[in-house]
Amino acid sequence: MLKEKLLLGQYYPADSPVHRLTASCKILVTIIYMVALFVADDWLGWGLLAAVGLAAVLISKVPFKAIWRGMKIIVIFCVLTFLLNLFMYPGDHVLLTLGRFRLTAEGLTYGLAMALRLFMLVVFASLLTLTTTPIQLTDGLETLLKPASRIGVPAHEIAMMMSIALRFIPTILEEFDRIVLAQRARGADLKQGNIAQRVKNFVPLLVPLFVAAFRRADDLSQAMEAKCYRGGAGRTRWKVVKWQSRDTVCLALFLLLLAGAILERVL
Amino acid sequence: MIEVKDLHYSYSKQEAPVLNGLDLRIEPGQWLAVVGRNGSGKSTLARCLNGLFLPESGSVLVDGMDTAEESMLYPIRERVAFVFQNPDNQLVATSVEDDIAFGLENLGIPREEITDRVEQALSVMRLADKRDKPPHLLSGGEKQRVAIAGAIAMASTYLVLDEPTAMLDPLMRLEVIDSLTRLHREQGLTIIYVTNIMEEVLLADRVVLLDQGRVAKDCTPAELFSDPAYLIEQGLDVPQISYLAGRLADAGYESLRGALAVDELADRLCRI
Repeated sequence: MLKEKLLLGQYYPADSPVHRLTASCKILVTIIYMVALFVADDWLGWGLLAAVGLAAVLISKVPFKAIWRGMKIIVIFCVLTFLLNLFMYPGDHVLLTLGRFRLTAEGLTYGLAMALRLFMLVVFASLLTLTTTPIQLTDGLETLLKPASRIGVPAHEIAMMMSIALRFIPTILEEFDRIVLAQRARGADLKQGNIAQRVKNFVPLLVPLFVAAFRRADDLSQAMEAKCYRGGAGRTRWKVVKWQSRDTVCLALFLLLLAGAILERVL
Repeated sequence: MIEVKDLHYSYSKQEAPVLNGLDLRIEPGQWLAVVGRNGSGKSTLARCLNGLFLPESGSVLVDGMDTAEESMLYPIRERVAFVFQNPDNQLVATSVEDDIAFGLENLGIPREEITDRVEQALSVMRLADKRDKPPHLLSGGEKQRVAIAGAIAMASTYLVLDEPTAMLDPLMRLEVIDSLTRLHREQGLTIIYVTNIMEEVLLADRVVLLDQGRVAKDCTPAELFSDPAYLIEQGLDVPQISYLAGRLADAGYESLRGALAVDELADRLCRI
């Protein structure tokens, strides 16, 4: 259970236009949306962006419940942000005075706006991970970083490291389960005592886990060498996700949105 | 042909050398079993064959290419594929087909050809229905078959296997052995099979017994098993039938010496 969850991250499998978009397009769009959220400075902009975000969620067929699951902690942050801005933001139109605190109209607007921005930002970012598998994300990242490899960013190596990590998460979790059982069979008590003791109890689990992981890494590097691996240069990428016209359309729409937000702010 | 000439190798200066003047010629199309007690240099020899380890002195030539020459390393590894003991630690990619494609990607083979070759390897190894599975959802035997499929896809002529079934249960072991026998028979793949399991030695045309980093015996499995006392002295198991045949032969029934299978022994017994 835990294994599957870690492997897929929060991926929600469904067949929707959002799922079908190329990962690199979705990463770009997410960045553009975040920038637009902070460029926009009035309710027209924020409202429009919130509507766009909501539309994206609806199109993605990801149920609100799935999104809400990842949002619980963020909502606390949103409320805190709102309250902080509500009482701290300087303003003249006092609505209410509570002892030393003054509640102003400006504070109310700004607090709401900040909370909304934060909320939409996290909704949109989690939509990215809900509609894209980690391995697609890795691929998308490699595609996006590729131009940077000319100035020395090891794009292929970063992507390879991420995908190997994804490949070995379940294997190492299995190993961890085995070590826990082995130590319990030797009478180790992992659940007793205060926090300091419990942390100490973890040492006999982590040491063998790390030793085994290093051995694995050693074996794997031999296996990769035996299969002629020598980094990204001269290497074919077998499965390249092709950039489709729908990706271009989607990216163009969001660029327009950003341009609109910038124009509105400047004018 | 793989030619090993006067090969010396040691892991560090302080330790005794693992390989100590080893000579060996492996003809294409052979199934060669390599046996010997722990520390006799089996795995080290295997890793010298594709240049994972480089000779201290002496040489390893693969179809005339010297592993000591750096520019030859990749052509050599393309020809000499390797399957390791631990099924968990040799699959790199997150799905079966991606792992089979890994070696081909490294060689820079065009995309369409990779698709064809992966398809073929999947069907030869009967893994087509597992193509999208991540490695951790495969059985040990399936993982080893994926590793073998990766070797076939690279169109290697030699396949070196370092105790590929040591970590598998008997059923999975059969599964792996079956596919190897098929590949050897149908595609003429040269197999260099390091093992500690004497039943698996019977599959080979030729067996090499290593002792202290040298070839101590180079013969057919039948000849090797005809001398149970020598095998025991070398710290190896003796298959039960060979043991029985050997004991009977020592007791005077010389015609039974070297029988490897139950049927064969029964046959020969009937003719006495």
